[in-house]
Amino acid sequence: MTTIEQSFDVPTPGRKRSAYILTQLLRRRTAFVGLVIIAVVVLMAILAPLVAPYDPLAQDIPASHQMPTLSHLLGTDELGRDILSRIIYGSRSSLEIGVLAIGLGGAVGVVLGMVSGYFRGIIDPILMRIVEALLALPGLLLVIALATSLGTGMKALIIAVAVGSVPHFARLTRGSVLLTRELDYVQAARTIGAGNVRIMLQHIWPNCLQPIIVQGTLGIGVAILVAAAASFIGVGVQPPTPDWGLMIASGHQYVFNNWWLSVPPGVAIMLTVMGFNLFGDGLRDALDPRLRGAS
Amino acid sequence: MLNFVIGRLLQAVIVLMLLTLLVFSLLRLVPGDPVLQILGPYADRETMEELREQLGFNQPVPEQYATWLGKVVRGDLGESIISRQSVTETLKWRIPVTAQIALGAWAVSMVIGLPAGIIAALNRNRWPDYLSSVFAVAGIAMPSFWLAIMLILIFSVHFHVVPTSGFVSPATDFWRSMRLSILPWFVAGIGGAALLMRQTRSALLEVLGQDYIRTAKAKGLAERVVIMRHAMKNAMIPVLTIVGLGVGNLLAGTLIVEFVFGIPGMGRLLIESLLSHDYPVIQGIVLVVGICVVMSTLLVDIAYGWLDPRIRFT
Repeated sequence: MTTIEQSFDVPTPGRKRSAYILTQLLRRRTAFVGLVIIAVVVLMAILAPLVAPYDPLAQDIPASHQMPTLSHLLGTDELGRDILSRIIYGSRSSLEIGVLAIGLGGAVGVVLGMVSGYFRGIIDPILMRIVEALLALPGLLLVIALATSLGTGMKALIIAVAVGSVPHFARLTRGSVLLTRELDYVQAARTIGAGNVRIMLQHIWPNCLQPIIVQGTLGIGVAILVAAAASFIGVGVQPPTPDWGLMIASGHQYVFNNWWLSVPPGVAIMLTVMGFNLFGDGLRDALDPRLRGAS
Repeated sequence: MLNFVIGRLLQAVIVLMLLTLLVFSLLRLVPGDPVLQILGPYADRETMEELREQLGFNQPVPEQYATWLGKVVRGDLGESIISRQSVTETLKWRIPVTAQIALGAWAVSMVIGLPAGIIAALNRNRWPDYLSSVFAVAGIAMPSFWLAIMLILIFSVHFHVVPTSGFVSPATDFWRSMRLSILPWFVAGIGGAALLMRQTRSALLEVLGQDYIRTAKAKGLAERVVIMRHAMKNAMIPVLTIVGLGVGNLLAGTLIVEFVFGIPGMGRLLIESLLSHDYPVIQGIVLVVGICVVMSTLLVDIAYGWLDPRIRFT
């Protein structure tokens, strides 16, 4: 729906327009909060060895199940590992899965949607029925079933989450392409003899980009949630990797006496997902002229 | 209208066929030898051959699919590798348990989501709006399994208001069954409530900006009449879609909630089967959920076409 508006957008030179969007974005408090959360999580992942007080894998059995204290700010787990350090390192697996899976799934989905919407013909209904069949399964179910089949672990999980995101990107891109391909300037390009690939890359792609970026941002949040659930169940990231979903799972057994094992990783997941959601929503509002000024 | 319904039915059949193909492929995607993965490295040759036979691996793949599909259509989902019981029989008494949780969760999402959305829309940019937005943002971002653990911690361990986990059929002990179900219902329903709240809010805000609402107000109708009689009716169309299309997410939420609360429905069975690589059971559950979603999508599509004539002709 947003693309109709975009096609009437006044074309402004690249830099000016992105600066404008950035101002629009930063003016929204929630989007700004989202951006700050994302920045903190990304920094945590990059600087983990510098900011983590302990080695996330170092066991210290005599010091296990310790309440939060000054030496262990968030306490220790059942193997005496420092929970704060594991939370900090855990940002790595969440971001890795979220970004890689959405990058991979987005790339495949965009190509499929582009081909489907541009060439139509026999490819379009076939691809769209496959997309519908994939969408018939709730994302979480598809991901855990696929991840198990593919052999459990980080790589299987990334592929499974990527496959789960393909239909969303394919459908979104196809919709944008269908609207854009009929526009006058695309017809004009065709008339002066531009080839299919050139038209797709040079003329249609830039006009489809905005909703895809928004979907990608929101998709990372969803991917992190789904991946955490898979790891919690036991078909995702495997121990001893510091991973938030996995930490909640192992803390689950001791939750009656040791609440600090399960509370922090859940808060970390929630804040991170919230960051991507708030930023994605803000991005959508800033990119869509209709929503500017609306709350 | 008839053509529209027939067209949608045909589409649903095609999607269902593709779904069976997808479910069938789950077992074939396993890297290496699935039999070896299921039985582990210490299985003897005889057991392996037996399982290979049971799973139909000694036939060519298209034939395997045809045989499997033929059985599925007749309601035979195969046999569990672990318990040796018929998957169809097992699911028969697991499905009502899952249905009880899912229906309760659905009711929770409606009871919280709809009023919250209406209140937020009517108090736009005032504190009730902000409060429900915060609730929606948190509800969507919170991992449901974690929320479940937190609620157990608060209400069962700390305040002893409800039992920690378990399941009793309402036929056996109605009150105990309700007490055990409250937390699962809430946890499985809260995500849907958040989505519903957002959808109701934006749908109602859009309708409230229309000319006919201004006309109704100008006629001197009471605010309540304008909202209930004029605005809600039209705002409910997109909301209904969300309710119908949310079936998949609702079921997915229920599956994981069952695992945390120790409820013996499809979800716990699914997770046990995932961990023991019991593929026939996994395939059966994935198929059942997929069919539920395709059916509810079909119903929403038809209802939508009936409510909004514009849809039928596009």
